[in-house]
Order: sequence, then C-alpha cells, then structure tokens
Amino acid sequence: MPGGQYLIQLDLLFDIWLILIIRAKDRDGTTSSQAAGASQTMNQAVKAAASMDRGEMERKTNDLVQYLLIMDQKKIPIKKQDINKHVLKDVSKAFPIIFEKATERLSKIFGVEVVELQDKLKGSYILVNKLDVGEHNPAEIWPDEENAKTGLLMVLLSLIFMNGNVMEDTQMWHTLKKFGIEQDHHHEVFGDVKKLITQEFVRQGYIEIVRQTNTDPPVNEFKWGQRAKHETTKRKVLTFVCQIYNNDMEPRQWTLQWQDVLRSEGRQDDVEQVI
Amino acid sequence: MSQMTDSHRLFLQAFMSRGILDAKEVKSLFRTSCEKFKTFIADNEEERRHQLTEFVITINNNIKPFHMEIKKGVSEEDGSNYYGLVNISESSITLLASDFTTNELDLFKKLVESIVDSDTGSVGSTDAINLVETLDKKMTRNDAQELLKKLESNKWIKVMNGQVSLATRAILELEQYIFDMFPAIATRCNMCKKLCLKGQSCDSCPVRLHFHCASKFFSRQEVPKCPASDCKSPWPRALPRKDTDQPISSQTDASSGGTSTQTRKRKAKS
Repeated sequence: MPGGQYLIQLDLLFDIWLILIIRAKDRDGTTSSQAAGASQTMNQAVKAAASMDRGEMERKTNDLVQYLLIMDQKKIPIKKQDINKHVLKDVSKAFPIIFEKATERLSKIFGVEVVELQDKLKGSYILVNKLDVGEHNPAEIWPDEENAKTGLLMVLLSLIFMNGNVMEDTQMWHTLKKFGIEQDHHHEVFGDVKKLITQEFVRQGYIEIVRQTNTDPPVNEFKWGQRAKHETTKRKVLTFVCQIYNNDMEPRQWTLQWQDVLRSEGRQDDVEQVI
Repeated sequence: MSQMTDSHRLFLQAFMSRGILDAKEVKSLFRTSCEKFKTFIADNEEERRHQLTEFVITINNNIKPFHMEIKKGVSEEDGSNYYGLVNISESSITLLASDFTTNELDLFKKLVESIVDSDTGSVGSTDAINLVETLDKKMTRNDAQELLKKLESNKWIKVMNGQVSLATRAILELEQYIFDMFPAIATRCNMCKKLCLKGQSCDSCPVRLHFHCASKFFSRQEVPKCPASDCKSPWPRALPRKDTDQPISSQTDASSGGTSTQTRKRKAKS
C-alpha cells in the first residue's frame, strides 16, 4: 500500500486525497475517468463522514478495529462488503475515512498493518504483523500448535521458492513424503494434512494453487500466496533453508535463489555482480 | 495517556494469540518484550513488578476503546493467578466466537449451562458429548469430541479424570455472561464474591466457597464454621491444606472428581 503509512500524520482529508492520487498513478493505464470516479467516491465519503457526529465516528472506528482483529484470527481475508454489512451499515459511504482511521489505530496500538490484496482478491484485506522481532520468534509469543503449522508452511514456501517460485503438485507431494507427510494419510499433528495445505493455507492466502490446463493431463502448480509475500521475504526463507542445512550453506551460495532475493529487494545492480 | 511502544505491542500480540498466561509466563513475556526492543528493565524485583504493572495499565488504557482488557483471574483449582485478555463488552462471547462455528458455539453454550447447573462445577465427558442431541443443527459425536479437544488446547475447558470443567480463561471471559444467562443457578463465592463453580458448600445455607478461599478463611479458625453471619453452622468438610502459598491442586483435583464428599447438592433455587 504505497505511501499509506507516511501520510497518516497529515490532515485526514488531505490524507485520503493523496492516497487516491498515488494509487491512481500506481495503477498502469489508469484513465482520468477512473480517477474521477474515485474522487466522486471520496466526495461522498467526506460528505457522509461530515454528517456523523464525533461520538458516532469514534464508535464506528473502534467497532471496525475490533471487527478486523476478530476476523483476522481465522486468517481469512476480510471483505470490504462484509465490513459494510456487519460494522458500518448505514454509514458505509464513509468507508474510506473510517477505514483509514481504523488502520492508523491498528498500527499505533497493535503493531499490525492492514494490507489490501490485489488481483482477484481486490477488496479484501489482511492484517500483517509489523513488529520486527528478528529471525527467531520468541517461543512464548505463539502457541505450540500454531508453531507446528507455521513450520509446515515454512517448508512449503521454501520448497516452492527453491524450485524457482513454482512447483507442480505431484512433485510437491513426492517431496513432502520425505517429511512424513502424505496426502491420503492422517497426520499425527496436522490431522487432514491435504485439507490443511490445499484448503486452509489457500483460503488464508499463504499458498496459491494454479491449475494449468494447457497440459494433458492438467497439472496444479503451487505458488506463494499474497499473504506469504506480505508476511515473509525471500531472504528470510533462504536463510531458513540454510539453517535446515545446519548452517553449512551461506545464502549467497545458492546463486539463482540469491539473485532472486536481491531482485526482490530491488537491488538489480548487485544481481549483475553475482553473475 | 501513555503511548504504546513496540515492547507493549509485542506483549499485547502474545496475549492476543495465547489468550491466557500464568504469572510466571507473564513475567517471562515481559522480559522478552523489553529485551527484543531494548526497553529498560529494572534489576530489582520490586521495581520490575511496578514496571510491569505500569506496562499493563498503559496497554489497558489503549485497548479499552475496543472493549478489551488484560484482566487478572484466579484458578478455581489451586488459587494461582492468571492473566487473560478478555472482551468486556456486555455479556458477549465475540472473542470466542471468532475461532468457532455457530454450531460449535451453541454446543459450548450448552456445555457451559450444564457445568453451571452441576453440583461439582464439572460434567462427565460422555455427558458433554451427548449434548449434541440437544442441538438444533446436527453435529456428530466425533466432531463434538474434536471440539472438546480444541476447547481444551485453547484453554477454555479443563478435562481431568473424564470430567469437563471450565478453565480460568472461560471463567475470566464468561463470568458476566454466566451471571446474566443463569441468574438462578450461578453462585458467588462468599469470600471473594466471584463466580464459584468448583468449591465447597454449607450444609445449612446456600453459602459456597472456592477451595482456595475456604483454605484461606478457615486457616484462621480453630473450629471451622460457615462464614455467613446468620448461619455459623459447623463446616464439616475436609479442608484443603492451610499453607495456601503451596499448590493444593492434588487435593482439589481429587475432590472435583465428582464422587467427592466435599461437594453436595447445592440449595439452588432452580
């Protein structure tokens, strides 16, 4: 969400204008009519917000913060539609303004950032932890069961990344078998592990499964989902892989993947040096 | 109002993901949260406790607008202290609701009701699973079994010797809900005035005491008598150990097993 964070301090109205302009510029091929449409939405939002009294604005903002926190526990992207339906209701026209205020509170108090997803998932939001606790999460912060799932997820993301950011499902399951994970076997910790990987992780936005129909038979490809891209980085995943190798490997020894890391960090010049 | 720092935020996030922590875990979490972000932490134990109190007050002031609070609770098992993040909007179970489907939540409500209605503050796990028969929507016994496991691992309930009871987290979060929903059968402990599900009862009047409250109260008496001023009947129950600083769980666990002589039919007006 470009610019969003830096603008928070500014006056609310100005704030939202700027964000809209930046977003409009960001999108390739944005036409002036789209921009006009956006500004019209904005005008309505300002009008709607102006008609609310201070107390109501506070209440709606706080309700929205609470709603986002509660919904995020399921880790399923939260739809704008649902926010309007369950929280804002009759003041849903003021969405952009109330939403911006709620976003600011979530960041200041809870240390989480609200991120809008892209493409097919546009209009859905996820909460991303902004606190940088370093490479090792302190054990006392997250419960064990969650840690186990996070571990499996890291393995999946690593496999995909090391394989060139995409992996066919047959190959994925074949590899997971070496970790004692089989799609048709009940797993001691994860239970129905196929469901966990192909449904839960996908719904949560960690994993994306793309069906390639141009082959016969069609194959499913595993990729990083949008949440994964926001919650972790290629650098962190490569470091994780090196740890699995008992730290016998340095991230830069994986030449291809290291280039990918540098590119993902916008360090194109350094990539050429590696080559 | 004091501002939140990254240390506060990490501390709060841990509470959000874990729900409830015991006193020792809270201290360790406080240390980790401070060290991660290079926040000063006092060497002196007394000062550190003061610092922790201030720290929690800051968080509570900041999260109050969202109807959340880090609240202290006491275990009915052994009187030890816990701290939980609770939802303080009126008699709601929204925080719990997020993790569970409506049908699961309905079963949990039925379970709460039958626990509150029981004499021992617990129901047998088979009876708990059989509650699926009372649901409007269908749920298999297997799913109910899974639900109990999930509730247990999230520290909402405690399952011991085949008996299901409400854990401290549930009592912290649902105390008000229970008083609102079951005013006729929910009782308060005569000493601490909080909800009492597990404890001892007087033979002659409706007075009930938590095990740890009873042990504290009777430690000052030669001959134990009911604390109600208009009752004062002898208190013929075996008393938990008097040194309340020590865990008394072994004794209370045995007594909460269901067939105990320490509890008996309450004089509930239900």
